[in-house]
Amino acid sequence: MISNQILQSTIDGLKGITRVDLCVCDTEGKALATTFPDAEDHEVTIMAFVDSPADSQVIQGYQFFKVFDEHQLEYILLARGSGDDVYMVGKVVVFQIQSLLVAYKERFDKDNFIKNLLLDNLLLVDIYNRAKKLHIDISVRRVVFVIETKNENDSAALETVKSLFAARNKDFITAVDEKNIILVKELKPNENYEDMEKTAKVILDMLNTEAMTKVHVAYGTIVNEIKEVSRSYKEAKMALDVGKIFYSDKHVVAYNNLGIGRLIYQLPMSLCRMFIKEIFDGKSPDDLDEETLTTINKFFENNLNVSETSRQLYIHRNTLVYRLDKLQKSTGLDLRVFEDAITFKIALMVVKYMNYMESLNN
Amino acid sequence: MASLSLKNISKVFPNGFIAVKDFSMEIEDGEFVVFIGPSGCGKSTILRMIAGLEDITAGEIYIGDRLVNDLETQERDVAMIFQNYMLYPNLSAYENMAFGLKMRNIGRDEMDQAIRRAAEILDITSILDKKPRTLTRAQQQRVALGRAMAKDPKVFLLDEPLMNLDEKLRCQMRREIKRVQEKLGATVIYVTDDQREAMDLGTRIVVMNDGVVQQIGTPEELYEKPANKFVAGYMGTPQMNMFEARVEQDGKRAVLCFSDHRVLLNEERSAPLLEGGYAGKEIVCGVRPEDIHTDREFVAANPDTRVEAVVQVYEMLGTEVFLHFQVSNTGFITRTGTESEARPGDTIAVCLDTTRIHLFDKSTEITISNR
Repeated sequence: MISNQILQSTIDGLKGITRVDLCVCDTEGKALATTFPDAEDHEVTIMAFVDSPADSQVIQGYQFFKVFDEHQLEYILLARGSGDDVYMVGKVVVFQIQSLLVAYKERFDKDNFIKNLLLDNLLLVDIYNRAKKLHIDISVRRVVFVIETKNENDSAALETVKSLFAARNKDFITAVDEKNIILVKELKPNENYEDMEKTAKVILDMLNTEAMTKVHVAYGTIVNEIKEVSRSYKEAKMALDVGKIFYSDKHVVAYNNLGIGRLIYQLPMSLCRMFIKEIFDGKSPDDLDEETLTTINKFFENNLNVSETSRQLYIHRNTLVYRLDKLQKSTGLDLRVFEDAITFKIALMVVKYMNYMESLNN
Repeated sequence: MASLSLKNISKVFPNGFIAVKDFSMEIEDGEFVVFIGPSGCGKSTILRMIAGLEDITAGEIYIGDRLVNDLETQERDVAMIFQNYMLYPNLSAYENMAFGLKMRNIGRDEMDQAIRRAAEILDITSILDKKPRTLTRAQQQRVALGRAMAKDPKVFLLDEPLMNLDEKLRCQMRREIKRVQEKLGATVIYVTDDQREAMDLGTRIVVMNDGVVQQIGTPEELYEKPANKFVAGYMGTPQMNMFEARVEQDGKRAVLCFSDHRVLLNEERSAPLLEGGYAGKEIVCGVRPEDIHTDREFVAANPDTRVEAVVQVYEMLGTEVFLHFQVSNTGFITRTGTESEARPGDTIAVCLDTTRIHLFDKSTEITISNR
């Protein structure tokens, strides 16, 4: 469970303090970490020691120790020398490795717990019991961030996020699929949505500049209890989706700031199809040429202001009026009239939503 | 370091938002180019396209002589510092600088050399083993700068990196960035919405609005010869005074008429107006605050450009004074010396320096005087 690098750095550190050479082997005699070169020579001896009932033994100038994890033999430790001092050092190292095993297990358990919590795989009673056992605060404000990376299993991105939040051991960083990194962040009492926006932007900018990867960051609402964390996660996932469909120019999307996209995202497809058929009479706004679409978008951006839109499009006012008249003829909607404009705007958004849902099904 | 070539770059987001329209520019090796413009004008999008963080809808980007359109960010040999940077709290300054290099699998010796070289230039060698929380804000900013420098990139891309700093530290870091850029001979693309920062840092400035380049030029060119009304209004603090006037002809000279005032232009300023057929038409005029004079000698010497004004606000800034005044219904602001005796409510005579007046077409807003 513990990586070989961690074992190596542990025995390197302990050798630096005690000046006793150490080696950690698995139960088949293979050296996992060692401070001396001829560790492989002891394979046969180790196999014999594993089968013996002794917990420690001196063989050929080395102290052999068994390292257990909840009564299960995990490692064999070799300490060079046969004196009492070496025996003592060996016991200390065994204790240290056992503590590491407990810590790693707890971290692993926490990670599993958080994953199951996010995915709604736990009964309410289990949530409270396991949280208590893992020393996770039950009633504290938290928010979930979902970070979608362009590449699957982006280890550089994961490493960057972990390092950014390493100082805060009450935050959890995990992944439930290949493209998303999830941060469950515990909040200080005075932190609010403005702080969440800042955190999201820090994550975005740091992943862009350090991991050099394209990402989208979304976050849910702030929840007060651990049982609500999965809700915040689902909200963040939805915000990510809604952002992709309607706000593709934004890299950070907050669930509490989804605008009209939030409503359209909830519509059943059958209703969408009926609405679009009614508005465009079987045609699709995707059939509109690029020039018309640009004109429409600019007109909306400028709050239906003909003069400003024509100025920004570098066209004569009459050209814009002609284009709007032409659109009115083909759709029956006059974008200069507020009600028609809002119908058209919603129709465009519904079409975007339908296209997105269809692309998921294909 | 490398040159940069941007050819007919456009960016249209899938939701139809046009962020950048047909942008072209050649950037020399070692140039410090600043992109400036209001929020949402497309300046950051261009930087992100150069970095490879945003797909390009149309056009080509070359770093050196390499077309990078389809290259991932890691392959483009760029380093970035963005507005919301942060140092890894549990890592020392050295480890912070090493973090990105480790991810790129740079060898230990090469990495150590790069970090120590950057640290030496930034004068942070003595704090390399310190954790971020023990560093001052300026030292943290230097480490962030060092993190980018250690990557030894061909181009530095900086997006409002000083935005979150207080004014004093901002000035200090601005000087630091300039010093480092000159020392390294680095090609830098810098995005900001602070025109003082742009004027201070840029060898060339790109002014953008609504995804379209308004003007590219040196700080002096942008200030002295703005290409349009937007650039004229955007560059300079306080903003250029703008007012509408009707052009009349008086022999070889043009007269600007607004309200019941008549300002006679010299022949040189009149020529583009009269030759352009603006006589009898409305135009937009712009005068910088320092080009409106209140001192008696200047007013006496220039009776042709004298107007009566009512002082509304007297703004004392220590070394200079801003006088806000009204001419008919138009508000003006002038920069004057502290010896000015004008106070709110006073009617004073002011003179426009018509040799420095800017004239713009009313419908296209393009310059008439600086063509």
